Amino acid sequence: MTKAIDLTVKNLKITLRDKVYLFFLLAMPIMMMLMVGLAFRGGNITYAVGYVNNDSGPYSEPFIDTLENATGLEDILTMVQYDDTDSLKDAFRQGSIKAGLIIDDGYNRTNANETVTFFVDETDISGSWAITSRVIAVSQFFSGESPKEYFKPLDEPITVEFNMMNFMVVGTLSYAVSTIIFSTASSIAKERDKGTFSRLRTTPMRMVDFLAGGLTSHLVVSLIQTVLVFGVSYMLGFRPMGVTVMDKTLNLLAAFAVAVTLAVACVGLGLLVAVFAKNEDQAVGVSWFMIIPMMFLSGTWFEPTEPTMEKISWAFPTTYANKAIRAILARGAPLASVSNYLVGLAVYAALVFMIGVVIYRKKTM
Amino acid sequence: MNRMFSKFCYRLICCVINPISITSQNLQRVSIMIKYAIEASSLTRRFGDLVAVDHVNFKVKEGGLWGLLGPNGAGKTTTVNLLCCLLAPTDGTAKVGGYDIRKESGEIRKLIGFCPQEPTVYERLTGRENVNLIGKMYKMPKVELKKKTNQLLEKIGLTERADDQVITYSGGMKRRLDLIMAMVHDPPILFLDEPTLGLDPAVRRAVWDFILELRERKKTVIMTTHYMEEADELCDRVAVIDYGKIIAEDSPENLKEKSGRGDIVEMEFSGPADAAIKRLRNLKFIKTVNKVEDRLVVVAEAGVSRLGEIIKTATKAGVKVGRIRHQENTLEDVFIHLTGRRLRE
Repeated sequence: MTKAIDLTVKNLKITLRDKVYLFFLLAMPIMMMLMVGLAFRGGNITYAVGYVNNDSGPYSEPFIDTLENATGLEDILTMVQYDDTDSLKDAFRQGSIKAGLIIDDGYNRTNANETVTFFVDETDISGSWAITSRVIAVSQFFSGESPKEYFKPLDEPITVEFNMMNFMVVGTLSYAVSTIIFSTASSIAKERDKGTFSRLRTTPMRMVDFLAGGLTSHLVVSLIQTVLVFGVSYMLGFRPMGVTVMDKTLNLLAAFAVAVTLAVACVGLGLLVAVFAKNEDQAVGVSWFMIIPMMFLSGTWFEPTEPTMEKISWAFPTTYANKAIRAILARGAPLASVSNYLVGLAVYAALVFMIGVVIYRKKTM
Repeated sequence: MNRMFSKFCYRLICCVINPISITSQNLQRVSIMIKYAIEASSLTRRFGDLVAVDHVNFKVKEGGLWGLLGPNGAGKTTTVNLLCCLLAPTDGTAKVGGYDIRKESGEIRKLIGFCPQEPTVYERLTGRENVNLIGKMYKMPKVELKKKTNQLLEKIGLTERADDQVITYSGGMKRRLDLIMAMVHDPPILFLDEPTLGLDPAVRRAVWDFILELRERKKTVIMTTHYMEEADELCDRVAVIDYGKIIAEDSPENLKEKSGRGDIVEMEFSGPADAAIKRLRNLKFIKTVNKVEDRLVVVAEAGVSRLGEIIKTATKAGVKVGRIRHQENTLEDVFIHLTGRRLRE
């Protein structure tokens, strides 16, 4: 155990003294959070949505009004009325509006999905996501029913607080922690390339000491990353969901626990990369080959919509972590309610780490 | 009484050899170790089709300084890596300190110190931190580790730079630090893989002195080198290795004796070498003749005084003799005698 601590201290000293490495590990997430935070703070973006109302009944006007001024929700939509469908389409083509709604005559509380045509500019990923979420949520709220293709039926309607900052904090956190794959793989490959690992193997050091030292030091680094990401985002206006301060603190700690579990999984993946990479350069390349698809597919910056890609995304630990942390921070979900993601992530972490250790031991003995 | 005396002797040996790792349970093994620190038996390592170490057999006496001499790629480092349990043998085995490298690597690691061919130090740690890390792997008590580290740093001239990060060290300083790391825990058996490779003459001399001191302290040292003068100067016994096989093993003096005492005459030449070699071999005072690159290397008794006769004989065979150089027999000549090639090839 003391050897593992000595090796942890050694790893941390090496990491903290290498300024370039340190910049990459710590300053990059801060910079990203600053950029993302500054870009999305100062209230939500307002999107222009055009509509044509062909309905003469009593429900369509309140529906439009609710889209623009929903009680208890932030105003992210500006509703612009058009006289006919052609004018609406022209405005959409010109980019004056991000989405369009055509309400047919006969619209009422029960046939909302049959009488409303909705289209959105899908090239604006975050915009289309925000507009679609709002339209569906209001439609659901207004009609009093849950559109079955989108939501599970709930006893009480829930308020989903769409906040770009919350979304981006989770993305940045997930990115920061997943870079542990790269740092683990490259540091282990470097030890092998430079011969320091061989030298340690001629001493009575056990493999378990070496691996425990690697795991602990990388966990410490990822904890520092997580604290920094939360710290910077807090300064920029990020607040976790929760009614009381205690709720918010507990939610933050729960998100922390998920981030640590993700870090263990990422160390395991880094170990696997190090096993198969022949040298440090290969380890770096393979790590990014793993991290980049992870960022694109696991909902780090945006949710995958294509069903096959969505299925593939479950192969990445960040998918479980993103869903769990987002539920906790953006929707105030208690840890117990995201236990499926958490258990999935923990099993993933344990499996990957064990497989990494077994193969690494086999390859180096 | 006998038992008490043998126990006393054992304790004494333990103190001298390795106060940290040897316990009373190992009495039997220690008695083996006193005889031979290392015994390799048909030790073999293959990498695919390449046989890097080919059924080698050798024994190294406890307290001896044993050199493995051979050109680059001969199998020296692979042999050391096998003995240090960094590689598993494909065939055969070896005992280090009485422990089998196949089955008892954990015990062997407690007994050995290892200085690899390339400097293997953590560049972002200070020199002192590097040494301390190795000491901690052997669970050395703090006070003892500090004392030993300071002693060794002082001895090898690194005290002033001990608290600087190794990234600021020169190649020679890193090499010296490597040596300290190999011996901070005072191991009874030391493996030094090309310990002076790439060092300038002054540092090389300092490292030689350090190694000679180890011999005085009765440490068993296994050293690989491709510097013939290094093996000649330092080693009690030298094994010559080529293409993974040990082709000769003896003291440097005996090796030179076997390859033919006498002067070495090297002649640059052009013309029919075979005819010249045949004629020269007929001369009684000539011991061996080899063609090495563009030279004829002749070992001859009183070769310098008989230089005229040697040149005359070669010329008669149709050879045109160019520049001539003569010297005393060295281990390089032993290698040439054994393989027909130079060590640096």
